[in-house]
Amino acid sequence: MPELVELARLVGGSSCVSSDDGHAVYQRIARSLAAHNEVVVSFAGIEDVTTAFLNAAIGKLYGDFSEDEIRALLRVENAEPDHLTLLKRVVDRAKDFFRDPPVYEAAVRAGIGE
Amino acid sequence: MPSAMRIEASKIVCNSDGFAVIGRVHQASLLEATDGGEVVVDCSRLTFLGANMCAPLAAALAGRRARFRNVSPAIEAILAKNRFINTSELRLDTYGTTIAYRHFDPSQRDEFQEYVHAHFRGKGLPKMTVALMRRFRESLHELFENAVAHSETKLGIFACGQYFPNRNELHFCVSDRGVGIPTRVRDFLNTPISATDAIEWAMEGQNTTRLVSDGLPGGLGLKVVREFIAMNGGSIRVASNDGYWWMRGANVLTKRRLTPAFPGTTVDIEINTADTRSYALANEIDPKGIF
Repeated sequence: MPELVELARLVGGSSCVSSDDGHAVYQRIARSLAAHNEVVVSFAGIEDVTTAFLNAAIGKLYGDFSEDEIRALLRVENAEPDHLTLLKRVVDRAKDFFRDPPVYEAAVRAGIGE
Repeated sequence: MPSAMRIEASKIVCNSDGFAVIGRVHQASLLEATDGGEVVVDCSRLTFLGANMCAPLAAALAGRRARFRNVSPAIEAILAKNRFINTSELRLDTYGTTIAYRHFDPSQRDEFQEYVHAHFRGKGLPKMTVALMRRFRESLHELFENAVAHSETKLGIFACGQYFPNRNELHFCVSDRGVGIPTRVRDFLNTPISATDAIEWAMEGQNTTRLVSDGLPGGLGLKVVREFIAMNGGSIRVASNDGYWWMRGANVLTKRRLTPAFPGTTVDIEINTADTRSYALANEIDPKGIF
């Protein structure tokens, strides 16, 4: 049975905006992924979401786990379309960021990071 | 008793001239007092102060105990209403147009959330669609988190806003006394680019000064804010070190060298509160295809 990470419960409200809260969510998810357990992240009751939160909660996972592992074990539910769009951008950025660090950093420094 | 330094300008508004005035106030304060010392700011020539400019003014004077004298009654009323100064007389925000001035330590994320919640949720000011209000709140949080993550400020983060119902405009300033965007970008790129180019670099594409060794991806917050403001037809003004950068809608209007420099970073966002678009994003994402 997958572990349910209810964001509203974890952050104590409807705002997923701070990187501190994101880090707390990251720790919950990372612990389960490390044990090869499935995780479902529920956005039920969430309104405001920032990239700062999502980077800390989910983007950071790509530094610790492979894309295949994350794809196999992590799911989101009850997210609004806007939340999903923002999450997708964060995930795509995180993949680029961690995939090949020297190449990524060189590309950003050269101004060709698009 | 400390001598007074006079603000040699009649107006402080949110533009490059206004930030240059504040830069001069900062420079004078360094000469007037050491850390923790008292400075007296003579406002006898000042006839207008944009309420949102209280945030950068406070940032410029951070680390000193500032006392303001010869403040005109009109300015005093504004500063008392937004709680920038304490007065014996209680000034009520009768028209609901004031977003109070506040100082936050970088660790006070919960307090900033409560502050945003108090001003921009439920009843109160201003009248906006639910979608617009939400995007605006998210932008404020992105700006605060950006300051916490990148500014390295030890003197805190300063916030203030003002609503102009007759113009359907809402202004909000977030200031810090950190290293500044140009300093940080130049260090990262190891290139002596101009301050305005450095600000533009930080506002574009995938650019971030975060290193992979930091273990945390970044670089999206300012872009998301910029996209929102472009859609809304609002404006972003950034004053950081010796650079001033202004965008309205999707167009960058001004890139100017600031003299004297602003001691840190201020980002001011202005939105059109009458905007009724849904802000729904065009392409729906399949949750199964995210990771």
